[in-house]
This record gives sequence, C-alpha cells and structure tokens, in this order.
Amino acid sequence: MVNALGRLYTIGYTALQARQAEIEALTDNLANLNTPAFKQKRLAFQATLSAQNDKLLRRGVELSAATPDFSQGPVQVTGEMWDLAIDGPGMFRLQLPDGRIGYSRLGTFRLDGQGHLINEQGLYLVPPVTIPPGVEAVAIDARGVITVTEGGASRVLARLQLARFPNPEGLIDQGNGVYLPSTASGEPVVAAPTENGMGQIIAGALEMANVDAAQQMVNLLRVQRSYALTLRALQISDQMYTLTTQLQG
Amino acid sequence: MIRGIYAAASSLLSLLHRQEALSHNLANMNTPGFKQEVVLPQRGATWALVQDWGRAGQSPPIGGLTYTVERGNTEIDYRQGPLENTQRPLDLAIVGDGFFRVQTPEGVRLTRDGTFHRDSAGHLVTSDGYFLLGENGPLQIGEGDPYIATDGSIYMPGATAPVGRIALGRVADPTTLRPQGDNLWDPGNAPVEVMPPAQTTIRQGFIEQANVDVSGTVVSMMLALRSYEATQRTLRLQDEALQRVLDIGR
Repeated sequence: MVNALGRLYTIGYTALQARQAEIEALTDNLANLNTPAFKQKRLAFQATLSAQNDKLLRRGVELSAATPDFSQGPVQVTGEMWDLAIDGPGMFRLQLPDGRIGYSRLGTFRLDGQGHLINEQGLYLVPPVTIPPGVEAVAIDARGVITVTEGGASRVLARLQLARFPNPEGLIDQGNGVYLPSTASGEPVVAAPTENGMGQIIAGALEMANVDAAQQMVNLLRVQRSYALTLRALQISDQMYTLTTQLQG
Repeated sequence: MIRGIYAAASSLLSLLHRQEALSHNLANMNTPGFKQEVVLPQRGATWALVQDWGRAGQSPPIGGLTYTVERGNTEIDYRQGPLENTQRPLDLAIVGDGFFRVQTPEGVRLTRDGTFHRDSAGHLVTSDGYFLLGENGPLQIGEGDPYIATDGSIYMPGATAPVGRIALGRVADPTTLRPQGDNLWDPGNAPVEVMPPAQTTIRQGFIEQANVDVSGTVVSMMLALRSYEATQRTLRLQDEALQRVLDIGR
C-alpha cells in the first residue's frame, strides 16, 4: 500500500514538473516577443512507464524535446545601415572567443573602432569583414556583396558568407541568439547569400521574433488551468495518504 | 467481522490503484497521442453462505457474500484525440484508424505521437531518434519542408514524384497492445498489418492531443477520495468493534 502511495507522489511530481516547464517555455517565448531573430520553442512530452516483474508501473510524464521553431520571422525595416536580415534559411557565421564557430540569425551588426564588422556581443563575422578608413560610402546588396566608394570610385570589398543546416531544429541554443551545431543538426553547408538556397540579405532591416503571441497566450491560459488541476490531483493523493496513516492509531 | 476488514482493505487498495491510473492520465493531458487508461470496476468472487446446523445435508443456503474488491482491469481508451493546429511541417496527426510504425532497437513499435523530427542524414525520426517507417523502411527526405498528402505520400519541394509514403500499421485487436512508455506500444506477437493508402488519413501541421477527459478525471479522483474516506471509516469502526470484543474477554 505504501508503494502504491509513493507512486502517486511520483506521478504528481512529474506532472507538476511538466506543467512548470511548459509555463517557463511559454513565458520565455512571450518575454522575447520583441527580441530580434528570437525563435519560439515548443515542448513535447512522453508518458513514462517502467516494467517491474512483468508488471508495468506508471511513472507519469517527462519532457522529451524542446524544439526551436526555425520558421522565418517577419522582417522589419530599421534604417540602420548595418542591420542585416536574412530572408531564407541561412545563418551568419560568428567567431566565438573559444575558437569555435557559432551560428546566428541576429543581424544587428556594428563597426568597431578598427572598422571590423561585429555583432551585438562583439563577435567577428567569419570570414571577417573590415571597412578601410576613409571610405565615402558603403553598400550591401541582396547577394551579400559589400561595395565601398573611395575617392569617387566604387569597388567590391567582400561578400558575406552564410551557413545552413540539414536539420536546424537540432541546433543547440547558446543564448544571445547564437547556436552551435550538434550531431542532430548535421554539418553546416556554407555559401554566399542567394546561392545554394541560403536566402537573400536585406540591409537596413531586422528579422523580428517568430513568436505567435495569440497562440502562446492561449496556451499559457490552458497550462495555468492544467497546473491548478495537477495540484488538485496531488492534494487528493495526499489526502489518501493521510487517511491511510490514520488507520494505525 | 474479520471478513469486513478484508473487504474494506481490498477496497482501499483498489481505490489507490484507480487514483494511480487517473493521476497518470492527468499527468499526460498534454502528451501528444496519449490514450487514457480506464479502470474497469471489478467485483471479487462471491461466496455462497450457508447456515451450518452441524448436521450433514442440513445446511440451507442463505445467500451470497462478496467480501473483496479486486483491482480492476485497466483498458486503453483508443478514441481519437482532438487535433491541434501547430503549422509545423513535421507534425503529423492520424485521423481515424492506425498507428505510426517506428523502428526501435527492440523491433517495430507503434505510436500515435506525430511530433517527428529530422536526423542529420535527413531521416524522419521520433523525439527519441527512432526511424518512422514507410512502405520500404525508414523514410529519408533530406532537406527542405515536405508536403505530406493525406495518404502519407511525401513530396519534396520541386519534385512531382513522392520520395516515399508513410505506411501506418494496425493490429486486429488493439487491446493486445502493451504500452511501454515513450509514447510507444508494443504489438508483441500480434502481426502488424500495413494499411493501404485509401484507408490512411494523415493531417500535416497538426498534432493529435491526448484524449484525456480532464474534468471527468478530476471528478473521478474526488469520487475515489470520498470512497476511500468512507471505506477507511468502516475499517476503523470494525477495528473498534473488534477491540471491544477483545476487551470483553479480558
């Protein structure tokens, strides 16, 4: 009888954890409604059972996957010269401080004091782009070609390189919009924008979060109700435990 | 009198068992493709009571007595769960009959959980990385968002011929399926029949939600708690009565 009661607590506990994880994911999605290039996450759950002496014991529920949704977010014009949005599946390649290459959709680039193109966290693009001093004008077209004008003459300075993955949902979120490859994501394919299915560059614009606010709100209301019901179920199990202990007395 | 204690105790155990199944159902109210378990009430064996006059052939029957409640059998409720529109290209929901067939290290298993992913080689896999099976084994779709027709045929962008077809499976008697966790069912020795395209209905961009009747489950729990309370009370009363008998003999 005590075993059976213990299982009731295990099941109730896993259920509370699952609902808690859902609430956290939904509030995270909603909190990043205005974060450029943010990708909303979706959780998936599995029923857990364990076999013991040919008998199946119910163990409640567990989180099986937290999948980022890599669908395109809306592109918003900002007018900032170095804000770059990607219309397509490509990702910027960034040099991480530890030597690895990170991948990001976040296109808020700036020039540092030496004319290097850096992102919000100060990470360089791969390959690095450096604007020489004294140029009169810089332009980036949809193909990622950077043209500079010096002394009245224009010349092509560099071309951006993008990467995409066979399975972007398998990328590991490093925070700040930077992702790392994993065995699930597969190896990156590198090419210039507009080539090999990378998508085009839109300069002076940013990709906004792809969060479906209405859907997330509806889900949040549903999960809050689910949480209350899960607590009620645990309370009922707890009352049964109390009644059982009162038998000895 | 002792019989009454046994009856009450077996009833308590049976109610705990019911609460466990209900809790498990409620825990999985947001588990895709989950099918709720229903605990069927079951009466214990009925014993014939006879009046014993101590003389052979003279024991008139005075009716039956059921003094145990057995743990009820559980049955899986395979009714369709509601569809949720997720717009995710690799979310698939089965409408009506059938199960997705997936390849696990232990053999082919069945599932109604249609949240599929892609592995690095472009195969369609479950959250645990098991291959979704088509007519000719694992389905390799490569890159890009597929269009999946209702019969399970998978078309990649720009191609007119399908790269494969998701072949659903079914067993003659679903009650023989054993749930094994991870949203999978083990068909055991029962043969899994591959369903023809005409009988397959798959909706892309949808998830079949759990078919748990949430409010019904909570009401059943409350009922189980009150029954538990009442039974516990009868057990204590019988215990007290027994104590008095013992006190008399003191």
